[in-house]
Amino acid sequence: MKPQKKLSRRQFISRVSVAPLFPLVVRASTLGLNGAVAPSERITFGAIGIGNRARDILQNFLAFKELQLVALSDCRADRLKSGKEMIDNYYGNTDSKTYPDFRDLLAQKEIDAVFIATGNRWHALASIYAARAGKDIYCEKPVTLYIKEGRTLVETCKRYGTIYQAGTQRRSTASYKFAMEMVRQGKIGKLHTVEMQVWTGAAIRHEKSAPIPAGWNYDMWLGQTPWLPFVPGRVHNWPYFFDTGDGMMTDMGCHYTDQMQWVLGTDDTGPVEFECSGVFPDPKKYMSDTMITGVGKCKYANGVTGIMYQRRGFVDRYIKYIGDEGWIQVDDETDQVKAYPESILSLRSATGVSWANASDHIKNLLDCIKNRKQTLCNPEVAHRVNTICLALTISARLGRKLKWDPVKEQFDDEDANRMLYREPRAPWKV
Amino acid sequence: MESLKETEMKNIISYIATIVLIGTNAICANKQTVPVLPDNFNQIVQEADKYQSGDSMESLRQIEALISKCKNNPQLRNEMETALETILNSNSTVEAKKFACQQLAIIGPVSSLNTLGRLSSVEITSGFACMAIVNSPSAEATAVLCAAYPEANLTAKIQIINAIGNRRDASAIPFLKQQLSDGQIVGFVLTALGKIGTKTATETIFEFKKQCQPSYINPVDDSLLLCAEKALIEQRRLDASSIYKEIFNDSVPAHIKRAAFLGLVKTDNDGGAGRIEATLTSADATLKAVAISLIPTIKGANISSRFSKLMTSLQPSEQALLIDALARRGDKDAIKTIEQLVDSQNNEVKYAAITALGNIGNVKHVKILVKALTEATNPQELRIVEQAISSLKGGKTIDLAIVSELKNASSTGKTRIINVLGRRYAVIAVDAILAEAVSADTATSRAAFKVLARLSSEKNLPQLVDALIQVKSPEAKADAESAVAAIIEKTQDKQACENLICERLEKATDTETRVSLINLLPVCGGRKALEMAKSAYSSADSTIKEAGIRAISEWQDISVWETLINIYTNPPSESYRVLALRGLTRLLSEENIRPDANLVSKYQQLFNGAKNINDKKLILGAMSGCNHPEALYLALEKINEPEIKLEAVAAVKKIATAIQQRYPREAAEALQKIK
Repeated sequence: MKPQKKLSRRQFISRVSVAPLFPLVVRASTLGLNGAVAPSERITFGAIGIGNRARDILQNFLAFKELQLVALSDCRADRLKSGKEMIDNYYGNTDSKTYPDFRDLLAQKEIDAVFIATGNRWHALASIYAARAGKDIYCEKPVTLYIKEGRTLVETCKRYGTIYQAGTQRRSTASYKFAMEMVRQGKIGKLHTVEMQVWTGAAIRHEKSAPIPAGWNYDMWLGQTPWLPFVPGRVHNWPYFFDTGDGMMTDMGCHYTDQMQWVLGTDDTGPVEFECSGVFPDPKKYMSDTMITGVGKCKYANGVTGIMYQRRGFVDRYIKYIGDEGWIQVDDETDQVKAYPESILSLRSATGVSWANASDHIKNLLDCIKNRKQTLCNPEVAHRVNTICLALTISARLGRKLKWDPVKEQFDDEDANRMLYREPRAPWKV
Repeated sequence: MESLKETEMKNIISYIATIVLIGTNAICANKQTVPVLPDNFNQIVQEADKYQSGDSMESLRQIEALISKCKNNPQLRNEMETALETILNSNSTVEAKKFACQQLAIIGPVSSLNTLGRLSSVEITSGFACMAIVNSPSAEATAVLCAAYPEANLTAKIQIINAIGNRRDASAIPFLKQQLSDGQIVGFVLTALGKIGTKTATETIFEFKKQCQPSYINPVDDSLLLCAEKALIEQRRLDASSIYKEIFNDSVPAHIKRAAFLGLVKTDNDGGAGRIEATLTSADATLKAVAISLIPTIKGANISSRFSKLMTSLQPSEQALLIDALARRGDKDAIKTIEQLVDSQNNEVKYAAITALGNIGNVKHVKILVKALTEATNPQELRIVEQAISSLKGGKTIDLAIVSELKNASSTGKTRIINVLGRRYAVIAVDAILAEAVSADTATSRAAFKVLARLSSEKNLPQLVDALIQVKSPEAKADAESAVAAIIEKTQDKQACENLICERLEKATDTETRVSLINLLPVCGGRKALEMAKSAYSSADSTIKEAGIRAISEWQDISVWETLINIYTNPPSESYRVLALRGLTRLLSEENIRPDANLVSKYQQLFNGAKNINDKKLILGAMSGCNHPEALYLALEKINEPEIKLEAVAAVKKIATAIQQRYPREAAEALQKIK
């Protein structure tokens, strides 16, 4: 048999060509010395969206020696500049490249994968563009703005064999894994209810439009969402507007619906009924249009009920699994696990990371980029998770209970079905 | 072409006619029907018409509420569509038009299509208009879009083309074909054709591909992939296959080739097995990982054995992937191959084999996994083997098999096996682990006690205590103490624990053992245990005496108060006094949940015996949790002492805040004093 050449990791994951990226003075890390990973073996990343969340989580990314961040993109010049400074500082060089238009970043052949931490309106769209460009993806949650976009994301990633990890990192954290195992092992008896809680949403006061700040590509910022004049309060509080965010029940709720789906083993399906009601901001005073407080219920075919509360403060968020012999709860702020009977807690080992450290989650992605297996939070999982939140808010907007077919991904309600989709603004296409 | 003025007149007339029509409909409505449109509906529409950022959105919300009532109400639906079209036709603001289009998108426009069509050709409104048109249930919607196209600028053209594609209406194919000659939008046209995906659309794309510029090949192939998927959904497997074959070649970008490969696997009659096998034996390294990742789901007979045979022809990293893929099939055919690789010289392969056996192995594999466990030479390998053995399915059968390996293992091996039994929560192994707890090897003994702390129950307590008595190494003894304490904590019958510990303490002769047992007295609690602790404190042996004071100071309930206060006020040494004070303040702080004057008098007692600033700070700290006015007054007294003023002020503030609802006057006065 003809001996086969040992291939570098980069060739193995099917890069077409390598462009030289590194300075002429060869650092020890470049040669793979001092425990470092040689450049040819590193997975090169580009970051799309360098806002606050990106800065938090990039710390976890950069800690991986088998990864190198080589490019950044943001539609705000100030963020692009400070993002580059942060990355260059870390590597001790000035090699990182910047692209105001993320499509130019995606066109770079030497980039293997992207990390997307834009506003929610861009999550799925940028991911779809990245998949079409042959890049693997880590994308922040919630992964889509509307339900059909999620299905397109799933299909696109399947089509190209893209490896994609959604940023619902609680699947990689010790406290949540423990809770999942205890429920699955029947320590609380038969599970019948999952309670989840996110915090009270904001109400944003009316504000007139203003000039677009210098250095902002506002058209790019808007992306696929309908054109509206620049209003600072609306832009800076984008999660609380239906056009750009869908509110906290979706933005944060998806972390808990992700856990619920995981524990129930329903990653490829979902609930069959949704009912949600809430308090919306007073339109005389406020321009935001997502719920301030609310209660959403979903029912699975096996009888399990999920209840999402939107109330109280930021620190009060939790998920609680209630069975016929006990319960187990994870307080998200403290990462503390409580249970009844308390003896359940004695089964917990002391090791593992908290959700604030996304390292295990990123490691899962990096491993899957190499072995081409599905990640923990692959597109199908993430889409189904997000569907629950989006279906709840559709129910709240229409003011009625909705039945859902998780196979056809349709409601029993034509108006609700029309809300599954939002036509993107040109030139963006899904 | 009509003038602007004529257009405006038409709009005004249309607007007025619409208002009249709405009003007429309302009047003619059956008086028995519940009126859905509010009386001030016209006003609502007029206000919505003028909306822009900064204004009240009340009218918009009112319209949204009406939209939500349109289900099963065709009359209301028509009225709402008419009203929304009025907004679109008038001199409404752009934001009003956007809003109107979003509402039309929910109900699905029919009668307003022409208006929407007109707006779709204007850049600023094109996005909103197409949002609504795409959701129209009318068969005319696509034609409306096509008709609007000539008037549109580039951005609006793109919007229209995208919308046509998203409607997936095959009637648009001839129109789209005509647009392929426009270089500025060809990419969008190709995507639209791909979304339509019919045979005709596919042929159109293929035809274009024959004569297009090389720069268009990628978008062409993208759109062909869409067509192939549509063909698969419609069970046109041969059509799909021919598309994938057309695309699958080395000149395309890697991800396109990968997509074509994945598609071909789906269309292959044998589920892709032959193609995957061919890929694994080819020189095409770029697709091998992808090919291997598909193996777990290939249907058919003898798949695992077929691919197992390829193992030795692969690179180590590929072998590791194949091992994992075979394990994920859960197929026992692969086990023999994987078993042999546990001893591989290549770590990647070895670790993959060990992990795989952990997932699909059985009791037969305990021996080789335990061997790997005991021989692991680095932390990574150790972690992998531990994980594998912990994962072995089979419950008690596996646990017992692991236990049987314990006896003849080396010291290092025993430690590791015990740890794994702990991870498996192998309660059945407790007796065996207890036997190892008294090992002369400290590491083994320590590991045993740590695991016993989790696995043991109250019925094991006597043997656990005896093991604690037997061990000699100080570190192991400390771990034994922790284990016994953990079991006592879990035990309901504390009296039985007390009897056991006291009985063993009475018989103990060596100092170390006596100290360990004395340390456990506060964990049991009880009158007899307290007497034994006091007795230890009275011992002439200084080591025992110290153990005694420590035990007393860690007592869990207030019954030890008098003993501790005596030590505090008449201490044989300063260190004992401090220990006593710590114990006393801890006890009092636990009593803070029942604040009363008696509790405060105890705090006073402590202050009376305080010797220095640190004492007073400690007492103040505990007392700051005592929510009682007497505690407040006591803390107030202390603000006059300069060295502890800060702590006193903090205590006053905390107590006053906590009691201000029940004792508002007292709290207010106190807070005033510390201002």
